[in-house]
Amino acid sequence: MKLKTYILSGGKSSRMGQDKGLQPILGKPAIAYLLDMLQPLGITPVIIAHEGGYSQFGVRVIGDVIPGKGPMGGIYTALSDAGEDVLILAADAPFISTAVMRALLAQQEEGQINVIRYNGRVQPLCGIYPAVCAGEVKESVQSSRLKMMDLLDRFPTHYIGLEGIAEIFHNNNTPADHAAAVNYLRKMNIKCFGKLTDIITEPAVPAYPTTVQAFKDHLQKAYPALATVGYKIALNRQIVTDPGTNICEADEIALLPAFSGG
Amino acid sequence: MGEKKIRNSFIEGPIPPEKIADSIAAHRHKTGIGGHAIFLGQVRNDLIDGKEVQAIDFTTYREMAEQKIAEIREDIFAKHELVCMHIYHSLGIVPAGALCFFVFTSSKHRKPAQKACEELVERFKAEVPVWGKELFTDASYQWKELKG
Repeated sequence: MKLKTYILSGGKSSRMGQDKGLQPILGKPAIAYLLDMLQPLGITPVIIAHEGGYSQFGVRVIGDVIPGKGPMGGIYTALSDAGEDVLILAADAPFISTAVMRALLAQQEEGQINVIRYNGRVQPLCGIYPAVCAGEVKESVQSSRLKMMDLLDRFPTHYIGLEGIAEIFHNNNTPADHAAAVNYLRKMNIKCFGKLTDIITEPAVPAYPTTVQAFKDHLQKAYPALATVGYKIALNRQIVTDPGTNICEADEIALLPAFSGG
Repeated sequence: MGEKKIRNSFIEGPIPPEKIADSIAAHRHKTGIGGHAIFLGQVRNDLIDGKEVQAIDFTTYREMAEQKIAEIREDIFAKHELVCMHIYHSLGIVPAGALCFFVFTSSKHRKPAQKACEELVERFKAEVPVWGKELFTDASYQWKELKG
C-alpha cells in the first residue's frame, strides 16, 4: 500500500519553552527518537514544522498549508502534500516503537482511517489517514472543527488495539513529562544479559554523572546476589576496564557476564 | 573491504545443514579459490549434575555483537590472505544435535583459510557478546559456562 509518513511538529510549546520536537531528551532532540526508530523500517518521513532548526535532520521540512489549526491542520497539510495515504506521527510522542509501527502497517484497512488504541486509549496522532478522507479533513480545517475525535466519529475508522508499557506513548508536553522521559530512557539505557537477567529484575538507575565503580557498588546494594556473578561493563558498546571511567546519562550501559557463544 | 555493509550475522533457530551446501555452491564462480575451511558448532547433549541438555537458547547484545564481528572480520582479512569469509550464529532455541555456529573461510592456497578459520572461531567465542541458556529435559535451565 503506497504511503508517505509525516511527523507533526508544529505545535507551540508554551509549557516547554522550546519547540517540542527539538527539545533534547538525554542530549538528543525528541524528534530524533522517531527518526531513528523509522530508519531501520526504511521510512524517511517529512517533518511538518515552523521553527528553524529542523533542517539539521536531513529530511524534507514543510510548513502548514493553513497554520494555527493544530493537529487537524497538520493532517490536512500532509494529505495535500502527499496526494496519497499518509501515516501520521507527532513529535511530542517520541518513544513510539517499531512494534507499534509494524502493527499499524500490518493491520490497516484500506479506505478507512486507521488509528492505534493503546492500553484502551485512542491515539489519533499515530495512524494512517487515507487520501479519500482529504475532503473531510479539509472541511474540518476550514470550518475550524479541529477535534480529532470528532473526525474519527464522522469518518469510517478502524481501531487497532495494542497493549504495552505506558512509556511507548509518553507525551512529552511539560517539564514533569520531560523528567519522566529521562527516567524511562535511563532505565532503557541499562541493558542486562545472560545470568544477570535472573538477578536484576529492573535496572537500578544511579545518580549521574557517576563512575563505573560507583555504578557497580550501587547495583551491588540493590542486588546482593550479584556478588556471585562476574560481569564486565560496556559503555556505548565498548568494554571498559578502568573503574574510574565516567558514566553520563546519555551513555548506553551494558552488563555483560562471561560469553558462551560460538 | 570497501564500503560498510550492514551485516546480519544471526539466524533465528538452528542453522540448516542446507545452508552449508548452499554457501559452498555459491562460491563456484570464484575460481581463484583453492581451499575452503569450515567450522560448524553443534549443540551437544551435555550431562550436567545428572541432567541432560536438550537445547540451548541463544541471546545476544545485537548492536555490540555486529560491531565486534565487523572488527574481527577486518582484523582477520588484514592478517590472512583470504578471498572470502562468512560467519553465522544462531539465536533462540537450538536443539541438541543441531548446528548453531558456522564459520567459512576461502583462500587461494589452503593455509590462510585454515588459520583464519581457527582464529575466527577462537576470537568469536572470546569477544562476541552471545550467551547460551542450557535447557534440560526436566524444564530447568542453567547459563552455559565455557570451558575452552
